[in-house]
Amino acid sequence: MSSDERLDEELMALVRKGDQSIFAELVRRYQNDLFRFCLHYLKDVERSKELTQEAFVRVYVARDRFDDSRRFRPWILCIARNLCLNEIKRKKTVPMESLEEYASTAREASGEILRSSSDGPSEMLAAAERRELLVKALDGLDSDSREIVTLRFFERMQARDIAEIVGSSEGAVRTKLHRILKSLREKYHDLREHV
Amino acid sequence: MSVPDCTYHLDAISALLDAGPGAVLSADTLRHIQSCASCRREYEWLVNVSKDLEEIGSLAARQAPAVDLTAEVMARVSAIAAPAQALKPYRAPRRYMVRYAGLAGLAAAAGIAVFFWFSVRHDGTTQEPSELALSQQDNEARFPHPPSESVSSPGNQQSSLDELQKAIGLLHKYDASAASKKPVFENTAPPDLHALTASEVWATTRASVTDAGARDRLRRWASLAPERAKQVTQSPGASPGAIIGAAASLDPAEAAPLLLTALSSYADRPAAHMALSKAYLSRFVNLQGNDPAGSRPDSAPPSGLPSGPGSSDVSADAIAAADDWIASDPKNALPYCLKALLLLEQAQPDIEGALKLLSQASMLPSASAYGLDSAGFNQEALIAAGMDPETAKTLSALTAGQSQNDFLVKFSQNLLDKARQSLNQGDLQTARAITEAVQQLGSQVGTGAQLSQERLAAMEMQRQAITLLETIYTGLGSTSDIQQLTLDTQKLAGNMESFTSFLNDLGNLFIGATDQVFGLITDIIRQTGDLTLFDHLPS
Ligand SMILES: [Zn+2]
Repeated sequence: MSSDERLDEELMALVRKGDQSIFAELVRRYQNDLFRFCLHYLKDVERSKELTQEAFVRVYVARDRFDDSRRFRPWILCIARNLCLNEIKRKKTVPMESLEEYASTAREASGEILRSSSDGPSEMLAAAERRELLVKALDGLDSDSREIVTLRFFERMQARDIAEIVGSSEGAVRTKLHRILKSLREKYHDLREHV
Repeated sequence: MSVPDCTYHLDAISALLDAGPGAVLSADTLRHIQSCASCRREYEWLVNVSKDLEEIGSLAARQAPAVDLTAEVMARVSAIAAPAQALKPYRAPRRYMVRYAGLAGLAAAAGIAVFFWFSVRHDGTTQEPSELALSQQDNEARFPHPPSESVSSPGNQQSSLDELQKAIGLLHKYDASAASKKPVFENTAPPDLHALTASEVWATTRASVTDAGARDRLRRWASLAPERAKQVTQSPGASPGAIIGAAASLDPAEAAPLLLTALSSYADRPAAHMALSKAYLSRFVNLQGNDPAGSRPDSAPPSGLPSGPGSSDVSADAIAAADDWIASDPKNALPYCLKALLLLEQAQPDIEGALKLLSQASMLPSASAYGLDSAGFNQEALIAAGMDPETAKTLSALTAGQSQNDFLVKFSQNLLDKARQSLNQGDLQTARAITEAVQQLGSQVGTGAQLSQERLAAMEMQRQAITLLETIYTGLGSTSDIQQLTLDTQKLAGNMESFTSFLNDLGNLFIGATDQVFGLITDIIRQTGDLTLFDHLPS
């Protein structure tokens, strides 16, 4: 985050009034967020960079159409998501193919957790194991569900924002989230029994 | 603890899932958790899994490389910002110079008619370039210009244009409309509805891959003759779905009241709202094909009825129907665009209102003309008219999306015509906004597509919008817009290329399919459309 404490929406209002340089602040705020978000979908660093850039440009082009009553972050994520889905369709790949990357990340990072966590060692190990199982369980979800998990827990968005991004209703997202967590729990327990 | 108690507290626990950081449970629920083991397990699981998932997310985030795209983005933004000043209509004669210099230079260099891009219509034939020629004369008259006026970067502009023209050339290679040409119905007796079998439909589908006549036959079988459609709507036991399906074969003036009645039981079906809005719209704008044969075989357009396009001002009930559709289907970009067209079609066009709707539409993730739902209505109507149910299902599945394709393409052409009018009046701002909205609508239809016919329509809409945008952006002398359009165009050409190979695969599948496989195909299409057909078929 940056030192500028103005809200995204305030900055966007200034951009709309013609202060182009303010837009750089929004780019700084969201570029890594957006880039990772695209990476979830595309698994391709270069393409994700390009689409991140593209999403910002689209936002800028649409600046006059930015609705004051909407929040900036879901809006730009929605634009980025559309770009990613188009890209995926074009390349005919399956979205959010696998969370194997996260699995390896989680494995590599368990050492990091041990060093950084303030929990006691035994809890830490348990947490690392739990997470590894959870990553495996996530892999068993369908791509729509993984998208919801990504938005909710990785991007830390609330149901109403997720609904806005995926074009659904808030209630439907909540229901889906509960269903996903339930199935995640079952998969997780299955996996734990096998270990 | 009693079960209702647990239900209440479990709800409170679940609500934590969506609460912001720092949210806490009520003292009441906390007390309950201490005494109820099952709720406590639920609570602990939820807290742990949320924490773990967030942790996994931030580990992955830390693993991702950090990027700094500020310079690149701001460079592109600056390029956009400059010409945007010139967007105000009537203000930028200098920019027009670029256009003429660019186009003339290009024509001379490449030896092609510059109007070619503009005049290629969705049926693939070239038409008289009168519109552009007119608008050009218009602009020249409006902006008498000193010919030696210097422009910002003519070389840059020229090469951007070259790139764009090259990209647009790619679009013509893959003519998205080729597979959806208007059927030319043979002048034969209408089919015997009762005698038609599913086997015959399958055989005709196999033939349709290579034989346009067979494709037309299928389509004719799938649409009711007006008299028969009328009988269906008048039969006392007809379901709302059958009435909506049959109304598609009727004159819009006749269809509208029937659709209104059907809608009273189908108020929650967006596709039913669409049918009504479409019927209203076709009273004011031409949604039929250009070909003299018309889009339906046995229906001569009824004469004397005040239902033809352009015959009356847009009625309040048409607008109200569009509003109802928007209300029942707020995430679909299509109803917003439809209402926008109605506003533009009024005797006193409400341009501001239309542009507002179009910009609302462009924020939405997708658009749909409900090809699958409409196929369902069609199936009900065919059965109500006496067709064997299996045959009706097969026919409506194998022709699903065709009339949506026609509608969407025709609808977009109407919107683009409005953009051309604005262009001719020198209102580039409006022309640009409308055309960009059509391009976006095309991409939204692509996102919402379940049927290859819908996908085809999506591509065709984008292709037409791109062709017009080229004129508009060139007129604005806006290099960055041209560059962006070039990227969009290349992307579309790529989509068309890969989609062409999908259609080939689909054709090959049909040619080789046994009756049994066709039964399976029909079921899959009716449930999920044909775009995911290969994912659902056992290999
Ligand atoms: Zn309890």
